[in-house]
Amino acid sequence: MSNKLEHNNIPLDSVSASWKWMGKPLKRFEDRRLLLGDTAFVDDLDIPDLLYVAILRSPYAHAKLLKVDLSGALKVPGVVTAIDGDTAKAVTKTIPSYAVATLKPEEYCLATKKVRYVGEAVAAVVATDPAVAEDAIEEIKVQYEPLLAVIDAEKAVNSKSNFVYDSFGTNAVGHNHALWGNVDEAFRSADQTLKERISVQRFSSTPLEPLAVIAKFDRFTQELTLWCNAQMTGHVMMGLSEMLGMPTNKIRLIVQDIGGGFGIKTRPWRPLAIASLLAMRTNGKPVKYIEDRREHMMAAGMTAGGIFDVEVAFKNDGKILGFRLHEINNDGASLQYAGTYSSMRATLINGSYDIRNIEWDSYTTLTNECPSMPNRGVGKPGMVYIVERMIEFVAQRLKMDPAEIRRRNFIPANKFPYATPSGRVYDSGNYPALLRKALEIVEYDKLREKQAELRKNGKYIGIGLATYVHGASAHSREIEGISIKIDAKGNIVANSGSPDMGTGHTTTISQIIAEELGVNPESITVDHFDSNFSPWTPYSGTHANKFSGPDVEVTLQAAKKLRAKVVAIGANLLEANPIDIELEDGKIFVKGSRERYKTLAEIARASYQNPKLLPEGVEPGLEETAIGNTPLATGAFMTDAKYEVGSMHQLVTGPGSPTSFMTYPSSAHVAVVEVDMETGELKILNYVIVHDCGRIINPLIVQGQVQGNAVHGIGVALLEQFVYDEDGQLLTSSFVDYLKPTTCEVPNIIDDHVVTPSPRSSIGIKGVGEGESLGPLASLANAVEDAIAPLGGDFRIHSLPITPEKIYELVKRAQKQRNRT
Amino acid sequence: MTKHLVHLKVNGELKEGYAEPRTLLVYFLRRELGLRSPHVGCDTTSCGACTVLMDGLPVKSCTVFAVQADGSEITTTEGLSKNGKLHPLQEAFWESHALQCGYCTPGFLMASLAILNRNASPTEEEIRRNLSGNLCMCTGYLNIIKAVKLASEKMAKVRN
Ligand code: FES
Ligand code: FES
Repeated sequence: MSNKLEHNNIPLDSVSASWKWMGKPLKRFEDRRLLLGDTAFVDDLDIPDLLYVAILRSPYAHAKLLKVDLSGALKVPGVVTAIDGDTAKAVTKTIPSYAVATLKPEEYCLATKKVRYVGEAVAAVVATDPAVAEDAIEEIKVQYEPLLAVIDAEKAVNSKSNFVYDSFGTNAVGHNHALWGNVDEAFRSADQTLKERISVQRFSSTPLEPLAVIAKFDRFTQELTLWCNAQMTGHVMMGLSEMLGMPTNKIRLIVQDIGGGFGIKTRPWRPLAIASLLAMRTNGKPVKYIEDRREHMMAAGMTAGGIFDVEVAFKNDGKILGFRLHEINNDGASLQYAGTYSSMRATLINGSYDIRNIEWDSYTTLTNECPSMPNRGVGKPGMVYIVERMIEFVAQRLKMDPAEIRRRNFIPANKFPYATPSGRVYDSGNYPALLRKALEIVEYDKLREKQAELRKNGKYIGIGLATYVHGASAHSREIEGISIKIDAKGNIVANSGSPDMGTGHTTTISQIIAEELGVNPESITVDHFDSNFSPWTPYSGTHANKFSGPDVEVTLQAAKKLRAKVVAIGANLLEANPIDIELEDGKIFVKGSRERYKTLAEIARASYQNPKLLPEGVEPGLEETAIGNTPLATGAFMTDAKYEVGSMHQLVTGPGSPTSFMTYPSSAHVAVVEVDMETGELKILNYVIVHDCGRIINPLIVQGQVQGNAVHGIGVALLEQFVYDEDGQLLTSSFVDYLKPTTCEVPNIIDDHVVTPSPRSSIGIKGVGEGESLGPLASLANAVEDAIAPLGGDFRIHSLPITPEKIYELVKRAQKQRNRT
Repeated sequence: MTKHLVHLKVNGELKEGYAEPRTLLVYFLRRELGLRSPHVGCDTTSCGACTVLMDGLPVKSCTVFAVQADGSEITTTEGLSKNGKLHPLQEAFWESHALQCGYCTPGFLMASLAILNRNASPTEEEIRRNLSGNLCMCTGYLNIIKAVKLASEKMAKVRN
């Protein structure tokens, strides 16, 4: 099957007829530099007098930290200074706790009193050479008293002793319970019910560039400068200022190239704080810390694992009446992000289906594993997995076609805006159309015939579906800032609070500005983040699928304000009526007479010179900063919606503004696989994605997101898993044990669109940064079960990744049972 | 630790610098010779971000000691373009949107160049097999595979 990479599959309604630069598959402007090797990743930066940091990490999952003796390290020639947890505790505050607000965090950037996971930072050394720093940490003497590791999340929830944090008196740090609709009644009136336990492993999108930071402290200005590959600039500014007890105007955060982030780089508190503390002890010399891969796998953060018990009530015609979901989430050894994987599920609990009766009972527990961090979609992959597996189980029980059962339960296309049971409001969508198009592309009916035919010849192919909603941007609460300036020569530079991390911000922002100001987008400079110059808010950053929301909105707002000013000045100079002015090719025309124009450079010069020459009421200068979002976004939630995602948000907005997404993109995935019954080997024969991300600013970038996302999801479904043994040792700390998809595993992916423009976006777009990574977990599990269905019996995939061993076991068990009967 | 003088011909120019016996080639190229394009994604031979050509063959430069490379000829991404004009392979990556964050890109360019040097028109199968030692976390690889095919067409045109 060929991979349809050409852009001939872009439907006309994905662009607005009036767009000139938006909607075009422009090659990215940032690429030339990256292709030449002229990069500005943290480790590339040319900063003189660098010193190097190495971090000593705990070999134990759980142990008392009795003594840390730095003296040996300090004797190593070339070592400048060293610190341990006691120093950190004396001069810094605890790491911000994002989610569970009721407990008092005890975690510092270096361990104190206890170590709580393998790889936890215990001490740090600075030396004149990176190898010397590595040598020196071996000379640090640490006395540990090992404790029993808390690893089994299910046991941890109810344990009455052996706590990850003794003062909490429990490992179950979070509990959400909700009853929506009438669940008892749904179960009473059901024809049938079924119950199943499924789970999602701990995984990470593992950005190829690990965490990296350079810190420099100027003794005279008392200013701390940080070059860091952090995604969430705003959180870093707010959180680090708290931790270090420094005012934000003395912290300068510079974010240049980021080698992928996927959420894992949103809040690198420990490397940031450790490097900052060390930089204050080196007489003004900058220090650099570059995490290595093993450290990244052990300590940078990963998803929360989840065990899910689902019980579903349904009618014999396939209509799902309601379900109960009981979850246990394993968030590792930190409060930093604990609880967020759980609470995010409330935002998408019914998926793309009109299911109103739901009971949700969700525990968050701590264990002696690596702390959870956001990772592409956070709780969304799990939620999609739960709902898309549940509906499959029902179809299997009823022997109903999986496409048909979805059609019978979909939220109808005419029911938007749709208020979900949990109080979120979906903006727009057409789920039946998504599925229809996806089935057309795979030629579903023919494929089913072929499947039956092949089975006769001992070949087993399976077809798996996933049809779901994702969410993008946490509505009006997440606000962003951008400043756009037309300088005195008419050149344009933009500066946003959210950094580019391979996400195409530079090109996309340029396309939007070019559209408003009538210039060639390539002529625009989009500068990197620098907190001294870039506008930023507590939410600033590249995360939560939010570029499509506030980032785009503020870019439009600032560009429109500038346009109005340019038009006013231009009309004045041309002695024309402002409504007759048009902007194109860097010129300002009077409609209908192309000879009557001024260049943008001329307008700019006028605006920066004698104010008397400017029209009434127009201030000199052409600079606009916009901070905010669109008022359209506030339609995204009901006022009585509950279950906040992350209490840190409340620090800024106050309680009572629950998370719901600004836009709700949606997808239909169809996986076609072949299972080798002898070996358990799985081959993906075809993978089709039809998605709805509303209108599209740059189809090339959108397709790149679709493909990259889908391969993340395929990796999670088939390969990736962090494995801990019972002592809490991480068995998968390199890419030899933690398997990623390579060019040999990825299937060709056909992607296509359905477009329902979002009424909450000024230009009808929806988010595209996360969605396709959610579907493959369920589509592939569903496909494998479909492939082995002829063996009969209730043989199900209960855990991911779906390895050949698991398939093999399943096939053997099914065959054994069949031989017995 | 004692340091050894290491001579290399890097992208056509003679270079020298000092390296400890344990210094990996990738760190020597980056820290001693100031090249930026070989990146470190794992330093354990798994990701290919550090791939360079050593005497024409692709090596993961985190798996070679600098002293082992003494006297050899090294090609990196910096050596691909001529006077600011992109190599057809770079152009093909650009047109195919074969990079997102760009951290893996220099490694993929070098590994791809090695494929094309060996076989001017490789099959998809060959491209996939020979790039499987390079990890990209962003793109999902499909556009990279497409870019190598496109590059082979572009280079054929240049030759004719
Ligand atoms: S850094 Fe050399 S293979 Fe990863
Ligand atoms: S483009 Fe980011 S790792 Fe390949």
